Amino acid sequence: MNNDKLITEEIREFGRKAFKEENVEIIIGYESLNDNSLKPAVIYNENEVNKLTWNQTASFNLATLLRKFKGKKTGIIANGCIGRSLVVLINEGQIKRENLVIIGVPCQGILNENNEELYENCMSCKYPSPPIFDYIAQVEPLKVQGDTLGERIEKIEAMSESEKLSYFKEQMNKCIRCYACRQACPMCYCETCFVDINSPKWLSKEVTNEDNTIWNITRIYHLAGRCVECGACSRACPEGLDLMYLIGKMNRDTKRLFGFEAGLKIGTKGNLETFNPNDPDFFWKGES
Amino acid sequence: MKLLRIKKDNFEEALRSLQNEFKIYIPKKEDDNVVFSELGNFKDMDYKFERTSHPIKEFVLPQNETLFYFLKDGSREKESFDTSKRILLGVRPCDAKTLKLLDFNFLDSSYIDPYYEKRRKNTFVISIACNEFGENCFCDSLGDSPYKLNGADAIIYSISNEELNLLIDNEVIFSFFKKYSEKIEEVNSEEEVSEKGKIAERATKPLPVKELKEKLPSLIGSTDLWKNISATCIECGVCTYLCPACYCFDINDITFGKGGKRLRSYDSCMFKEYTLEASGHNPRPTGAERWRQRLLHKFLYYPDLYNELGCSGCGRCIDKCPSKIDIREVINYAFNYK
Amino acid sequence: MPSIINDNPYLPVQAKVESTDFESDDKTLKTLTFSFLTPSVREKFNFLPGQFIELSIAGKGESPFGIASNPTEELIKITVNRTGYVTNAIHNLYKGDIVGIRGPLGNWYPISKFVGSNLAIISGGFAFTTLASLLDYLLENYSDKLGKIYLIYGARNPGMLLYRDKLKEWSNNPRLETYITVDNKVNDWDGLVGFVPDIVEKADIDIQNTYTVICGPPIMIKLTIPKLLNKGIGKDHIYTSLERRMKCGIGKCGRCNIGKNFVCKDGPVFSYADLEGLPEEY
Repeated sequence: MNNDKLITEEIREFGRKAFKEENVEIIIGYESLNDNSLKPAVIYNENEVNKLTWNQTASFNLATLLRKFKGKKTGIIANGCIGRSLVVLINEGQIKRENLVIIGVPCQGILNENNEELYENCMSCKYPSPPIFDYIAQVEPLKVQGDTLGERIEKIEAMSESEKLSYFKEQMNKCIRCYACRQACPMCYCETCFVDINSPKWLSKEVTNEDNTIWNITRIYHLAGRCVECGACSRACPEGLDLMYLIGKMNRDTKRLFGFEAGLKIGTKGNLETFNPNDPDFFWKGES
Repeated sequence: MKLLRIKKDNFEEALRSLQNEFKIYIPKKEDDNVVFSELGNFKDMDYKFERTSHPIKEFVLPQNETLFYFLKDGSREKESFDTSKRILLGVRPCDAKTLKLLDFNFLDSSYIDPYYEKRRKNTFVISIACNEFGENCFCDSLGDSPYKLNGADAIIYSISNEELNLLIDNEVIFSFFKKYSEKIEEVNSEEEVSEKGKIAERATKPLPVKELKEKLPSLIGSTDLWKNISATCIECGVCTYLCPACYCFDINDITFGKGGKRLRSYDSCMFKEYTLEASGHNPRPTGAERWRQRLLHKFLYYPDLYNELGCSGCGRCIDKCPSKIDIREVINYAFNYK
Repeated sequence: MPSIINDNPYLPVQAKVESTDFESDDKTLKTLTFSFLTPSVREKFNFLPGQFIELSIAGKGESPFGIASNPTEELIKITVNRTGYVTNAIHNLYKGDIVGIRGPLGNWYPISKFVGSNLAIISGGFAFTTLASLLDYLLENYSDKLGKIYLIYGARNPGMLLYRDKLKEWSNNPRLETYITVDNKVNDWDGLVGFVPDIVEKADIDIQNTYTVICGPPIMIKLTIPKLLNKGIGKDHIYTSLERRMKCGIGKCGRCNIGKNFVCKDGPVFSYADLEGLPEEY
């Protein structure tokens, strides 16, 4: 709690500097609602800097908003998740590093809807601080608390084939194909998503278990080596699909099979964007 | 209109007899969501009637609706209608109202939508007056009441341990409940009895929707206003999916083998592809224009066309918006904009 | 309003392709004609110039097209630009193929208003379809009821002009003044050169008691209307036919609205006075 106040003061100071000295045109951050929960906000000048707030309800991934402000010199508040998203977007040529002024926050973890526990992906977070920044608040970041998500994924993986299939189908039944998961994700920036292409037609507009499966699996695999496991998709989903499990499993497979985690270093290419002769290649060597 | 007092077991007897002709749906809890599901076992009747996560538009305008089947060589077409009869029991007045709002669009006399019409004719609503306001409810701020019929066929005003008070505005429904009731009163207008369902007044701030409607035409060209409103919107469309009064749809063909079907499915004015033309030209190129459409449609065009707002204040959009955009704030912001 | 020919406004009526011909030299534009499978349908299919149909290809989808044929002709004629999924399928149709038609949809050019006045028809590109229908219909049935008639029509190049036989006929018809233009000078073209809005500005149109009808790409409409207003033509004397992405065509799916009007149901013909103050969503 104390850290929240400290962080808020520091980011306001950095925000002022960003406008005065770095000539940013806007800053993307969070502002506080009446109940002290945070919502994303865009501020346009120095006079609004005192709106910027940080606390443990900062659950929206701000990097998603950058695509609306292309070409503008932008300040952005960034914890580990947002910072890693920025690295991926820079590596993929979506934003220029020189157009960003990154105001870093060593994350203290984000509280879930009941405001008492951290989200499960926060519990095992290894990268609470942004890997790149121009300013950073001087506080200690969250330490790893446990691996609730990993354990939960292992439990599901230990189920029988039919149990696993049944769980997966249950999730697909919930999907209403609103595409909020796609819109909330900073890395889903395709000008025309594959679902909106009709030549060839990859899936129909019908909400069936089969088409929902194509949608969810394809989106998740399009994120292999690009997803930073921020959880924005899972929180945006109005139906409560267990996206954290699907994304978490895919990320852990990526780590195991390619030794790769997204968004840690500028200049690296995602595992599906390049070929490394030293790839473990378990899948065609017959081992698991 | 008839006001009935019915004992709970008699009420359930009436429902059982209704079940011979109608499917009855009540709100049931499923994981974290409350969903209208079929009343099978009367053990599920907890009389709580919580508000559902989804609006009831799905019963008259489902997410996917087959318009007709065809053979790919065009040689044959076969329409597909749903005429099953159902009663939705325990609908909140904000949701009941929206059937009236959807009727304006789909039953407009220039063209009547036969799919909607058939479903609507066979869908009856027994709503329940709210006894408390939800976190983001704001029907009262729009001048509506959470204890009025709002176009429903009947409304339950109160439920005690043993009995219910039911106002019925539909002959068919009345005929089923008539012989099960303890007491029947003839009522001339709802105003006579709606106080029975009135919940405690709350210090709501009325929203300036009438004044906003007058001001909106002059705001159409205020590009900064719309840019500011939409700055943090990620255009996910969840607001439109969960809104009881949103009805925009897409039509596409799906083929299988030698034939296929023409399907209509939910669409959203918040998606870029909604107005995107084949040439690449888009009359609503950014989120700013799309937000303008959303606000104008609900608070200017609908009142202009039908004398009703295109919003019933249910608050689902506020609950689920990932960017926490609050339409009440948007209304106030636009109204106060210079 | 002429009523739609099927009880279920979403269900197309079956029609047969009677002819398909390339209209433009670059083969992106094709003109097709249709007859209804059940002949009695044609009697019920009463339309006026300005209205459109939704052409349905089972399995591909539907697209809206302005009707290019004169209402007194037997066959229904449209001209299609090959630009996407459905229009590609339309370009691949052969004589005898079965399609679906929903219509006639939309409103029509207000001929009763034009009676007794001059009329300037202004068009660009392949939006000329419904105006060709209008001009043909007027010359056939209203020639003595109208004042001067002007036709200003332009395309990117001569090969993209629609209905060139008709254009030749009209150019030689003393009843109307024609200005046919292309965007850029090319060999073999000794007609006008210039964009339609500029030709409109320069043309000697008698502005007293003149109605104008414009149909073209959004940019052409947006540039031409100010020129007409500058000439002194009133907002309620400028009519235009708008285009939008459409699906249901009957004002239900919500997508083609401009203000509280739907382009498919309350349009596509609007006067500039109707559009003033509304979002410029066209």
